Amino acid sequence: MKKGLLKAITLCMALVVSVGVLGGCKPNNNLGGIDPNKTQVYVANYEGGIGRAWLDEAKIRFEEYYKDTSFEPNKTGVQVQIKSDKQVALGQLKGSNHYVFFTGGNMFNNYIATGDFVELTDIVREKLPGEDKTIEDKLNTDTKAALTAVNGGYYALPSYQYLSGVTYNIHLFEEKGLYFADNPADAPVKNASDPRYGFILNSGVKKSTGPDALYGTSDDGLPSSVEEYKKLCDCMVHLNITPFICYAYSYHYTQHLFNSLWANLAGYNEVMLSLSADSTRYGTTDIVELNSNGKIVKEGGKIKVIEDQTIDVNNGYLLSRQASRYYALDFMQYVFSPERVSTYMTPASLTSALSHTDAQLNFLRGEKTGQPVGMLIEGSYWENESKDANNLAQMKDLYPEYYDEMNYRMMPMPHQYEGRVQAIGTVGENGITQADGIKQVGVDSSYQYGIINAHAINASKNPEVAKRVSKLFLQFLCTDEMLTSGTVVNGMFRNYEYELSSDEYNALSEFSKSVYDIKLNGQVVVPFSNANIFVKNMSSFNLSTLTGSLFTSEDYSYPINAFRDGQTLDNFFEGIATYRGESWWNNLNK
Amino acid sequence: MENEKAFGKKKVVSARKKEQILFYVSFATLPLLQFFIYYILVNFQAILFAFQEFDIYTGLYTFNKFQNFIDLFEELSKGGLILNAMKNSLVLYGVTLLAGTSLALLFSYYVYKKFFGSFAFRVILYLPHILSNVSVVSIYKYFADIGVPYLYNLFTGETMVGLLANLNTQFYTIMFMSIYLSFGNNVLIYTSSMSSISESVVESAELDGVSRLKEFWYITLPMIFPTFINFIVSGLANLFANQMLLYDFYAETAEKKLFTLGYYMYREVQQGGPDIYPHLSAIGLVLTVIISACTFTIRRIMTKFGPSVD
Repeated sequence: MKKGLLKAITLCMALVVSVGVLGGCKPNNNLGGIDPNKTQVYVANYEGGIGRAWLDEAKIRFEEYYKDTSFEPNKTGVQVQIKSDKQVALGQLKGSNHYVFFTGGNMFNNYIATGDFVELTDIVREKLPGEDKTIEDKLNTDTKAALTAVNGGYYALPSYQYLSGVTYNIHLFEEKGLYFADNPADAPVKNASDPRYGFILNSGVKKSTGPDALYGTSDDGLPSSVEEYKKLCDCMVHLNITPFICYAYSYHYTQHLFNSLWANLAGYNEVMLSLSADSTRYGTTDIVELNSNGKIVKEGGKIKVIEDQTIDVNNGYLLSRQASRYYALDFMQYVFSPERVSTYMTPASLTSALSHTDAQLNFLRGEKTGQPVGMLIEGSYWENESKDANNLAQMKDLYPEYYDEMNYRMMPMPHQYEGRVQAIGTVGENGITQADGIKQVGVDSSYQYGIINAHAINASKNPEVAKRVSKLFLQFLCTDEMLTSGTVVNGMFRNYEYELSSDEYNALSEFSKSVYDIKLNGQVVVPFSNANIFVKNMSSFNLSTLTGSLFTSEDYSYPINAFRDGQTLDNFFEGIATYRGESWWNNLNK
Repeated sequence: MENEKAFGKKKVVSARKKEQILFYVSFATLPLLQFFIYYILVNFQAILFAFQEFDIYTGLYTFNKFQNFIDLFEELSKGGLILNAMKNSLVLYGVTLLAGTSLALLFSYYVYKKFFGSFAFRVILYLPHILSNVSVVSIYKYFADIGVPYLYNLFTGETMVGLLANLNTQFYTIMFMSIYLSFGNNVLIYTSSMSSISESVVESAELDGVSRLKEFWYITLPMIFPTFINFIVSGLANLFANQMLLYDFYAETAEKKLFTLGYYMYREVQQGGPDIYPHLSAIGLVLTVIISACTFTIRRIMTKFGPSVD
């Protein structure tokens, strides 16, 4: 009896564990139900952040578009079979039967000459169905150069891109008046040592221009320099607002802040210079002077900067000493130093107790739970991810009135280290338009590309048909209709030149509009280059937050940990310069 | 007639032999094929990689003599990531050997002697093995980052940073879990091995008034010493492959200071493409040479100088 009971308990426990394990498997793939009368296209999609709604939409439209076309005898129409999860990666190509792969964070150059990918040049250069343009016409110059860097042909096409950055809570900013006054003397707090000095608070005085140097734009009153950004954080802490929240248990999330800040301090050309070491194309850069012992040279307490340094393939190691990197790291050090980190970022951020979607939810509901947070460090996919995690639905249920008032945007980043940008003027006056302002620089840290798996094609029953239909699917995704509808579905963008109609634009959330504004009016760095040194050593120039290695020293993979560990800014910067110094560069150049 | 008989007999023997061969072949082919592909070929390819480099423009591997080894030793001479990862792997092995193995032996002895609560101990120690590593690690992460600070606050009234969130404690926190997870297996196997000790030997020792400690030292340990050697040797062979659960804790994004060589290699393969294989193969080959030498030496020493049943 006792033994029987024991057996029953053991069986129940085993069942509980098994069911738990099975419960973890998402039935999100539709590999069942193959229609033998149609030609199949098997698609594998990396789902992180971007989700799969866009692909489901594409499947419907593609199947509809080719419903009467026969690609092989006795079959009419196509059927797209989707496998979508967070495990899809290029390393699986050989064992997979999926023809089309959409992956993230992968360095695809290595797979081109090995024959792992099907060449796509023909579909990139032929007219798109129903359009006068080719895919190539929709790619910008740098992207075209990067995609064809290995042997002149196209083997991968951009999928969704997301920008690294910081999202700020406009509702909170407006309620607390967390904007810089144009003239600090007009601001309500007169004591210059008060952290609130210079902010408009509840006064309604005129805001500063913000980073774009223009009055009358959405970034008015936001910090335009690192110095102002620090002041903003100090003021928030003084007002019992936590400046940042982030899923920092996975340290790489904090790189979203660094990437976007650095890119705006450096500018588009200097970032591209970092990926190509070619001043003939991207101009010169300012670097920090080091003495013969590798220590930073200072004058009057400030770093000595060598201006307009020309960079080529022989001295590319100097790029690790870019002044813009020093300035961005200065801000990181300020926020993440041991004495500030627990007040400038929510304490839970660094613990495993907070997931990425928890961080997003805490950012959204902070004002209602009495723990207001000013800024969320995340990629621009986060709103879409939050939607999938039901965070937005939860907000709507719990705080319906607040939900209608919620307002958050991608935060434009400062462009200089100290002081404030010089005002250009007011939009709408003297013929000044938004295009006259200083442009925001976005960093696409997604590395999301679509490729066709040559192994799966060759292993298919009819390789020619499989190749043709897979190519048509990739091509179809690049039509204007699919580019725009794909953006409307998830509020995210792809690295092609396309514009949304006013209806489509209005259908976007405020947040997506702010990202679109950067894409349309600013400049987006797609961290690829056709420079030989980059092509050969792609992973060493990686700006992906996940695997990024551009800002590592010998001891630390992520700046946040160096600073949390009490490293000084100078020590860490010198460490990077040594680690990524001349001998490292010469190794890359071999 | 005799010839016919002899011929018939010969035929029967031959048919039986055929059956035996067929039986042998049907059983041995698959494992041998597997051995050939996944051991011989894979290792042969890995050795080749160690002397090659990948050309991204042609997609071909070309021989570069000993360049990968020269680069590796140059890197090691400067300190750096790989050396630090090696150091961490050695620390993990050392602690596992000293603390993990000795505690496992003592616990096994406790369970073997059926002391109070031994069944419960056995279940508790083996429980994490029923669940997947990911689940156990998730629970442990919460405990280390939320539970421990909560308890600390409860008893002292002061706040503390979670054990994983704190850069100074995270290595040891993860190492503890890694050792704990290996504990259950060790206890199970040591206990099984102890169970096979002849009861008459133990009883006669007890009649002679041998203390528990002496019984453990002079009877139990020598009797299970072959199992103990196996654990030491297999642990040594796994020294540089042990990830210390870092992938379960941090996926690809563990901080450099935490890296073990096992994690470093796994992460590189996960993230890299065909260009990374030569570098990793060179590391693998060097480590194989070191580990094989250590394994054979230690096994020999332990067999020669370890306690004997006599």
